[in-house]
Amino acid sequence: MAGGKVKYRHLGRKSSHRQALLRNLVTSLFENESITTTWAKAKEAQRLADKLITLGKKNSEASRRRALEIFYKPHDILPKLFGPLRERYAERPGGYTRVLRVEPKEKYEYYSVRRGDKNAVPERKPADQAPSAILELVDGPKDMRFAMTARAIARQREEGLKEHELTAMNKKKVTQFRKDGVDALEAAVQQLQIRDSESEGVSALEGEESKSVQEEARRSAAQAGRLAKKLNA
Amino acid sequence: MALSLPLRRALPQLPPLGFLSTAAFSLPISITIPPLLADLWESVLRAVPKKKTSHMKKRHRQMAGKALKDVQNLNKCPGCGQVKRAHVLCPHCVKGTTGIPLPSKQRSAHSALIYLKDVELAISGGYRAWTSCELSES
Repeated sequence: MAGGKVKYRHLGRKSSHRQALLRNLVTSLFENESITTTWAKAKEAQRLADKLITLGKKNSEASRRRALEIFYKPHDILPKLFGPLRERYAERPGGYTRVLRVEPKEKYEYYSVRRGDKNAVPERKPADQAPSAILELVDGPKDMRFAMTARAIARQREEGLKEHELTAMNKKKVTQFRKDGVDALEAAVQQLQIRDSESEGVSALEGEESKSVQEEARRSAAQAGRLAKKLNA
Repeated sequence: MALSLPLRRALPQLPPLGFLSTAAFSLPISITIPPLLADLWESVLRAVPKKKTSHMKKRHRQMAGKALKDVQNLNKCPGCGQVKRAHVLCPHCVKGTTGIPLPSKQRSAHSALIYLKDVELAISGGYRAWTSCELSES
């Protein structure tokens, strides 16, 4: 805007349109835990989403009414906001959402309107090529930074790399307020390692020595169990 | 038409406009007879584009200096090692994380093996050596 300081992004819409957009985005966010949109929209929706979580944590009659005004599907989302989400963020002093930049989607998504028709020209749906981002609820099941950190740790272990300082920082961010965060991250890392070893295992099975490898795996599994017991004791 | 009507009405009241109209009539006469200005007419007065600028020429001119810039803010993805843009999540990893998680049967069988790896790592600190020896055996 000419002259004055802009307090929020107008997103090229008039007030009512913008309000509707943000309500839609926030409803989807609380429904799905994570949404992908343009970066500017994500940042604006983030403000509203954080305020809504605060309402959830207040958990008063007034806050309930206020939240009811905002969501488009309040009867699905209000129980979630005032239940699991309130508990999840009880200890966290703000910063309930996260915006991560991602590459924009493929420029055109092709789809055919008439499925049986061979001659049908596939229609294409253009994707917004503006800078995109993921808006997610922190510590949720679709926490992208959590997944990325797990990947980084898995690779680091696999290749014997030194821990990068950013990975260390992310580790802290991801586990600090999550319930049993350290264990959850460790489990995620191990799951990734299993997936990697399985893809390696498929190629190994083709060889002649596959049986001995399997036996070895069994033996080492038993050994691991014993070691784990010792460590726990 | 709507605009010209009030102007015509104003004409008799404004002497300068009358002067302009006489000049307009005298112009074509001066152009048709240029006895001494013939050379000037050919060189300067007809300095107009001979041809329409083609689309290609126009676009080349207007896009000059607006070419795409090289992306130099690149680094390696800590998750997969591929090159990615800095401050932007790796597209390969983002695609991969939305994949289907592993069924629980396979998970339990393998987790013990992986746990052993971690214990070994904790005890000896020689994770790299351990994995390499495993690879050589298989």
